[in-house]
Amino acid sequence: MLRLPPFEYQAPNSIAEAVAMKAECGDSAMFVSGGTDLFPNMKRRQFTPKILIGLRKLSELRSISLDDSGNGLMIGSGVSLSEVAEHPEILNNFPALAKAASLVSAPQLRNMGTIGGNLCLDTRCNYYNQTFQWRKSLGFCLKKTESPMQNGAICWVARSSPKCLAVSSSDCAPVMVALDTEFHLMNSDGKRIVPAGEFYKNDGMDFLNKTPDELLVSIHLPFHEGWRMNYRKLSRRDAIDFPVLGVAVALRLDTSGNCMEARIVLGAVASCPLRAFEAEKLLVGGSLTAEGSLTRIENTAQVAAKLAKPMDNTDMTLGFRKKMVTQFVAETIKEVLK
Amino acid sequence: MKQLLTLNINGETKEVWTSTHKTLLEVLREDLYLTGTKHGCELGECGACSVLIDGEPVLACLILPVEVQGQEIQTIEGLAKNGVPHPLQTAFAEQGASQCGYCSPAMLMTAKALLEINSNPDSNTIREALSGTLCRCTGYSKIIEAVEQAAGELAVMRQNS
Amino acid sequence: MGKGFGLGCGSYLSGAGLPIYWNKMPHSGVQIKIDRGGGVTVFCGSTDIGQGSNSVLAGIVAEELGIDIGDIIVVTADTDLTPVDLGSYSSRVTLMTGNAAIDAARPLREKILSAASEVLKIPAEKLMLRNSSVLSKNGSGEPVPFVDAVQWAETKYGILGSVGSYTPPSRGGKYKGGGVGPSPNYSYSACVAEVTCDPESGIYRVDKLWMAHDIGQAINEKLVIGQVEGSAYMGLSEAMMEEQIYRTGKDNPGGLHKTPSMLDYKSLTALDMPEIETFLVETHDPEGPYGAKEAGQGPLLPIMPAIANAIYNAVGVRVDEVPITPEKIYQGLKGLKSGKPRGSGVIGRVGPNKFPKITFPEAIKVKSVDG
Repeated sequence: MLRLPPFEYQAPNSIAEAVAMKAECGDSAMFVSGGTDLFPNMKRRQFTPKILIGLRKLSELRSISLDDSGNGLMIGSGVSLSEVAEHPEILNNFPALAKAASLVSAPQLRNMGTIGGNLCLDTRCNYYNQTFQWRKSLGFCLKKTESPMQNGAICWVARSSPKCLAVSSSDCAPVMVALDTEFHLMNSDGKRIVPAGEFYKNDGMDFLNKTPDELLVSIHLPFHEGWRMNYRKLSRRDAIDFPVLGVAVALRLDTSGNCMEARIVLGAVASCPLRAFEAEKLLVGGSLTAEGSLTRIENTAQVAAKLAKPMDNTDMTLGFRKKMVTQFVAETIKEVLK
Repeated sequence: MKQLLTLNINGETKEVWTSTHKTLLEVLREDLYLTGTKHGCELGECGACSVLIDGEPVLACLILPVEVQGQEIQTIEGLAKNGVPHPLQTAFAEQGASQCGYCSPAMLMTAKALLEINSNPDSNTIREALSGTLCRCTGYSKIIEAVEQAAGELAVMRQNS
Repeated sequence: MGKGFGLGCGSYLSGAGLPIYWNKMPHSGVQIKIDRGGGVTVFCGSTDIGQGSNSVLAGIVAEELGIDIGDIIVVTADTDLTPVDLGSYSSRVTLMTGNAAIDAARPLREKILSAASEVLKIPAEKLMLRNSSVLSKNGSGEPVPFVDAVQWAETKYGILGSVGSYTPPSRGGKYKGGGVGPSPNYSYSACVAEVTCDPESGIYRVDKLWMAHDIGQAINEKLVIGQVEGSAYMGLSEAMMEEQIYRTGKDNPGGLHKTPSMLDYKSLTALDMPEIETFLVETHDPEGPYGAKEAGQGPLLPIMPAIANAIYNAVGVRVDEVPITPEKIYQGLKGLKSGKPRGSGVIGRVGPNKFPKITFPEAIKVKSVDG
């Protein structure tokens, strides 16, 4: 049986109290909300916190509302993925986000898992997301864990790699980056706002621009008047699986079909979502509906795909995943234009 | 470390003195002897431990019972009322939707939650709702037919009541 | 999108001719007790793992004694109480326990009819057991309740109990491999699969399966369909994704399982599994109980070739190994585009390039027992 390691459970009554608890307990404490990412990792002893600070009961974290200026939505980090997938405001204004949330795992898990948890999802690797015994038999890998005895020195995916190559496996993160979202963080010293594009770092161990004592409190989604967007996911099965490739595309078109702005973001092909700046430039400035634009879309997709450097540490072969980037980017752009 | 939990399970209030780090699944099975809910992968990958919290299907293997105090927990043990099987249970038996039975409690509870929000789901909606629970015996088709049958029977029962 | 249909066929055995530990004793035993209240209890070592073997036992005894299946108590899988059955494997249970149950039930039927014949003064061969009664075959006279006839039989013969066994017929040839013995009978299955495959990526979904299975005789049609569809699921999951992969190399001399969890070892979810339409073909095999044969494993076999053929039909790629993954189809599609044959020398074919190197012993030539 896989049991949780023993811990003490604390239930703060407010966000302020939660971050104060964390400041007091330091590294021995971890926040937990939905638990769908942390608890499997705890059962496999990737994490063994002495104290868990439970956020599930904090109603402050569970609301979806208009921001103060009325120019966007504020989503509390504790809102469940099911609610993100079904909320009318999100479906109307940010359909790509609703779709990404609806594609995470399966219904039971989406009822528990939160948007904040999905955005802070621990990077994944099929050498890392294994039981304690499995990892011990091979030798623990580079990706750090709480326990010093589990710290190995080798990345099993690429022996010579100085950094961990675990994969950003969030469905929602690429969409957030594409939509210029802002993440509101809080610790006992105060608040900080980080744009989604700067929140993620391409390092499997140190993958978030967030200190352990900072809590992701809410996500600000500015309204995207005149934009169209979509998200596509590659996984072996239609439920339960993490993405082995995610593509988020958002385009702002004028009335004659000219592309004014573009966002293309790749998920699950690196340790963070990758924004394809060069590819985006190829789309901006001309019609995407006129004749000949198909070639432009194909070229854009090929340029975007150059960014992807999948490694052999998820389902599906890395060569195939790399090849699929081109096709998925092109198809997602075409779907957005439909 | 231990704690006293007060849980509302199938309409009854239960008090349990148990370890803080036990999951809801472990407390249900080991402390309350409600062994109808099954241990599967214990990592949120198979769905065998699904129960309902306030009517929504969730995975009991990844829930701390302390966090669901005050909420309504429904397990398979509460599905039949006064010895009368729920229409879903009758339909599962009649359709052969249960073979080895390991996924059946999860399938039944998930289907119950679906039929409470959607009284006439099409087969794709049923597939989507059940997609988080793996079945190795049936190929799912009899399960889907049983849920369709139960939806029809529940509709007739509502009309007659 | 490439649409394709594929057909596959398979054949399977209903149990082996010889037991797993070598002896000449029965493979299955059934004991039946009838009490003077008319209660019938069937004892058998068979284990119901969800395939419905308890239902098969009850159904067969009910058929023999002309009573309702719901009136039979079945006691199984307890070696303290039951005669031996070798177990739920090798698709053997319906055939072997079924024959043992018939063997046990018939003497009891004879005793009940013979006692009834004496009381009713009608020859036993003109009586039958049906609808929990003793009836005359020509429909004359009042039906006698089963329980009354049971009491007449107990009065005449003493306590009613019976045992039955089944040992497969000896058909083994004297050739290598013949030791395991030919199966008492063989099932046959066919599958048609419909797939939609993207000719660019090789990503495909299976839209529908049509399954036909020669069951000989369905003892319980619902359960048989359940077995056929469950086998189709297993076969399809194996055809599409299930795979045991071990990490090897100098760091892993023993081999470490690459996908040791239900997340990483992929099997089909309700969203991946297509609709199945099942047809049962009844051919009444002389060796089966009422002509029955297996259903729990055979229907798995035609799925893999049906999927492989459907993919070939859809996009022209021939994948010669399982699982038939989009990655492999993509390789084949690349081959078709480039026009270059891969290792196997066949354009658009993916799979092992040669038979693995095995040193075979010299062939043993034998003469068939059938001449």
